[in-house]
Amino acid sequence: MVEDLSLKLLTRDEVSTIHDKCLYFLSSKGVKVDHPQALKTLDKAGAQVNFDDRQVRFPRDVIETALRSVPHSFTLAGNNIIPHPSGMFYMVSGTGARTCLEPGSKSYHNVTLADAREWVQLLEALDEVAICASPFPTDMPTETADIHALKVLFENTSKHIMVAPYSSESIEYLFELALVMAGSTKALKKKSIVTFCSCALTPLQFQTYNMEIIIQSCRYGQPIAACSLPAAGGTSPITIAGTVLLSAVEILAILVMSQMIEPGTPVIGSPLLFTLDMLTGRSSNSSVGTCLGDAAAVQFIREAFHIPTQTYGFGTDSHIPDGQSTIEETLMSHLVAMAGCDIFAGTGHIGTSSCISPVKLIFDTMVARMLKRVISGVKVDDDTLAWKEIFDTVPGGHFLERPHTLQHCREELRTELFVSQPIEVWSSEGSKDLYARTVDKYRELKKKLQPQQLPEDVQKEMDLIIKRANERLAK
Amino acid sequence: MASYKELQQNLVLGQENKVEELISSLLDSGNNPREIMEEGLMRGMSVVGQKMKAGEMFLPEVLLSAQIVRKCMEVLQPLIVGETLSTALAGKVVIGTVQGDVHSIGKDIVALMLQSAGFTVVNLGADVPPEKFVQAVHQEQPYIIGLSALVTTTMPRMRDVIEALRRSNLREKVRVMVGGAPVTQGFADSIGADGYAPDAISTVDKAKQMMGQP
Repeated sequence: MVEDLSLKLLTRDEVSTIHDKCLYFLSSKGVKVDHPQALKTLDKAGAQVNFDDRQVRFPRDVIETALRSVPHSFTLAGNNIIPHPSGMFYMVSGTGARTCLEPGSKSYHNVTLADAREWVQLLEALDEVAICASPFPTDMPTETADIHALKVLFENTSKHIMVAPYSSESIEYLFELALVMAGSTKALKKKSIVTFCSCALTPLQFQTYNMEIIIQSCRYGQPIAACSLPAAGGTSPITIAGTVLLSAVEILAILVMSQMIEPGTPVIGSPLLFTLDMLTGRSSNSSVGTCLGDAAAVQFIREAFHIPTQTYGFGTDSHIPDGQSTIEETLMSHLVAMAGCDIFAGTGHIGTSSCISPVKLIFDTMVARMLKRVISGVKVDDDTLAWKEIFDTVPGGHFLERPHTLQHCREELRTELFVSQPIEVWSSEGSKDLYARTVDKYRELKKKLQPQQLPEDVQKEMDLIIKRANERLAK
Repeated sequence: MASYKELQQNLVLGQENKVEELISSLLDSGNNPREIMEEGLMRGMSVVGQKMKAGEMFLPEVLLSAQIVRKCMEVLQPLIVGETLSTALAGKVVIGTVQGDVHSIGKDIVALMLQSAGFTVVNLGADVPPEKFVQAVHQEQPYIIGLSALVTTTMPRMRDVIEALRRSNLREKVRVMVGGAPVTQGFADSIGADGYAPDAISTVDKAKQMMGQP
């Protein structure tokens, strides 16, 4: 059996060229960092800082030291080792969606805290999902919505959490919540319960709050998702390779800064590519070119930086789960899986990550199971070759009653929601298409959803943090 | 002999040198500069707009044609005596990303599209406080101000701008249009904006509609 079922979009020389260009860029031109304290810290740690224009260059030896100190592997809450020991991937839902497509209809509504709660409970119930993120609860004060969302996550899932803070002001409260959940700073440092997303302001800038995320994540030993979100043709070059390069520079910058602040801080390289539609100006995260870019960027980061990777694995630009979304997510997930991506983002999202769909979420878990089966390959050994079975077969006989068949009959994947009955039976049951059958599945799951049982003191403490955040930040 | 049709065609094709050559030839032949602008360049851009809507021209191609028009206007403008060119164009728009939000790309694409459609655009940049919008309305007297936000937490600043205009007694003097990835028609209505557009192309149509133009 081929152990490494992988797709190489870049040759070794191409990876090397991009790597060299990343090092050259960061050492000769650098990036802009808007955080006075971070500038001082980076300056002390060996970066070349121009305090007037806030441009920071990183000498090659500093970059190389950072690449040596960044962990190549670590464990997320839920005992999930990343990269996965068997070469599989983890799924994460997305952050920040503001609307929800109601299952069984084409109606959308703004996400509320109650929706976020149900969403997280659904993520908890789906075994395929390893990491949970929350949509944006629009009925909460805008200034504290991310804080409310993290509390909902802690109250409704035991899985590892991913958070994208929205402002500098909310960061301290987010870490306070994490500290309450962990029990102490020491306990939090020992266990990665939350990955914080720090995003470059593409191209090549780092805003105050994203630098603060890096600083606080380093302080508390929580993984950083080093995110670059270039839009080819807009904020990055129109060509795939150019966008991959720009994204790699930004991710490397975050990696280096994190290691300069606190060596050993876990980093997940997260190229989350978009393409500007050259006809409409709309951003796409699911076009063929974008998917190729994601896969190429993942391959590059794995081979050059040797850190875990995250990219869109289940996105769609369609506004509903339909043929387009199915084609897009199948192409995207397969490309990035073959490239070796560790975390698939965008699970359950439609409309270019702007909207959540419980039906799409269930679709995505089905595709994930199929994909994991593909990745696990075709095992060839004495047993699976079934040499004896074949040799002993009477011409015209069958295998159905063989012990060998009985032994293996449950091993292959049956995709639960796919049609397996004849048309007459399917018709008699209402001729339901996949979408309708998935809505039924969602309704079944919904009846069994439940929150986590948190200790009373933890719950109380989190309520107080929320109250304080609302009083101080909400307008 | 150069013709307006040829000028339009080369503008659509993005042939800058040829367009400049044709304009020189038309001027040398005694054609009225204003007529060259209207019949050659403006009509040509109108064809560009139609082709874009039909999916035949992509954004960078549209922007190239618009760039050529801007360069040619530098030649023609001094020759169009006694008229303010702003009356020849679609209208004036002040545009900016609201305070606290540093994202520019969407707003810049909208600005370019509006310019391509003949609007005069004053781009205030990103992270623009309400006072600066108010000052721009005083100084530039635009018909429309466009407010952009990409980050959800900065959307409330759009309401702040509208309030600031109201306090300065300027609210009735300008139309407010809002846009950006998290912005919706519902949000626009809730803050009292006059218009909302979901993307760059429809922004141009909406702006024209707000100005009572086809």
